[in-house]
Amino acid sequence: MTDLMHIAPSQTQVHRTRLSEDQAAGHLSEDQAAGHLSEDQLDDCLIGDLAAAPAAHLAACPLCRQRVAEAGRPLASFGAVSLAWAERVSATSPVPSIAAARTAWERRLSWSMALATCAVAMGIITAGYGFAGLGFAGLGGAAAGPGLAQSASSASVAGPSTEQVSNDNRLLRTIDLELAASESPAALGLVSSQATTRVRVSGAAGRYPLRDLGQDSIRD
Amino acid sequence: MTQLEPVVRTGSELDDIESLVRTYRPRLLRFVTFSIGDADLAESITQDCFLKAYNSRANFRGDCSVNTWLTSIALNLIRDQQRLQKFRFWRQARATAIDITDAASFLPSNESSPESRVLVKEKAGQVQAALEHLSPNQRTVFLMRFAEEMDLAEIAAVTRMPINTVKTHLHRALKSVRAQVGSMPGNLAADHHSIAAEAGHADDSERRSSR
Repeated sequence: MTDLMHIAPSQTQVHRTRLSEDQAAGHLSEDQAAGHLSEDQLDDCLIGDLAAAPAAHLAACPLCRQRVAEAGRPLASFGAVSLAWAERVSATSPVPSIAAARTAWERRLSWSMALATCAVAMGIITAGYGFAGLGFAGLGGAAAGPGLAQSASSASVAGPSTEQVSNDNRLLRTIDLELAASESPAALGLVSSQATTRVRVSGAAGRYPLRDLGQDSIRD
Repeated sequence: MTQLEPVVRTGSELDDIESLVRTYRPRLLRFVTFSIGDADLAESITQDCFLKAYNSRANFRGDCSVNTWLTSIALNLIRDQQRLQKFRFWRQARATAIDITDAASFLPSNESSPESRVLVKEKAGQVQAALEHLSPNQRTVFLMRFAEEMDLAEIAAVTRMPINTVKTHLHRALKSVRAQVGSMPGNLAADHHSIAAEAGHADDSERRSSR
């Protein structure tokens, strides 16, 4: 079809007849029917992918050359104007210095590294305090320094054993009984022995009531 | 020995960052700016691109032009940026606008008539507006072909796309831009008919003379 320009006139007339028949059947566009480049071929030409046969037609057809030039004009205008704009902007921009030759990616990386280092340092400090509070009390506070020894002693107060509580209760009960006996009227020689017995009992129960020295009272 | 000469030349070209920037910044800035549509961000990416190229200049093998190599670095930075923007919910509501129309007055003076300048400015503005409606891939290949004037094989190599995919993107981009610019189909059709009529008259006169 595109070789029509290079074919003898009699053959051209035959081809034109066929083309008009095809066109009548709706198979071809007007350009194709006339043997000129189609819109797709025009795009191919602008893209730089025109086949040999249309290229040969283009070389011989002033109409198609003009169409290609018209189609390429806005693109060329855009290229020229945008380059002029970029040259103007570039003329006022500073040249990047090699000393500051760190890309945005590297800057992001350095920030990330700094944040990660801070996070690790915080983690180490937190873990150090926790470890000192839990583990070093049993291993001996003196070796761990004054701060850690203090933590160790406070840890032992926080958790007394049952045996220790019962010993303390026994001791307190003994002291209470001795105090009650030394302050009674009988011990001071003021009442008889029977009354002394009554007063001792009431005094022991009334003035110095024995506390229930269980684990709860110790904890309070 | 003679094959090594271009590599040595480009190697020394890459060593001098100031001359590298002076030579290639306008083209690279244009490519980045119209790829992302943000003038401020484009300047930053262009700056990063030069620093990255300078730092990795030892990796440049010289099997393509320096401009193509720089464009491929810029394209990677643009893709990184686009990936980052996708996940950045606090992204800027509006990018820094690009106004190239005033640059028409800085065009070389071979087209000095005011009418032609107005026409050039108008067409450039129309193409710029049409670029905003293209997909990122279409815009990239369009700019590489029609602004950077790279051939299809170079575009395929830089974008790492098969050449047929590049052609498809280019066809779609060009169709869309031509449709948006709008003047071509109608005006061309009119011109076409007038020229066809002239050609028809010439054909008839040829036939008469042959008879």
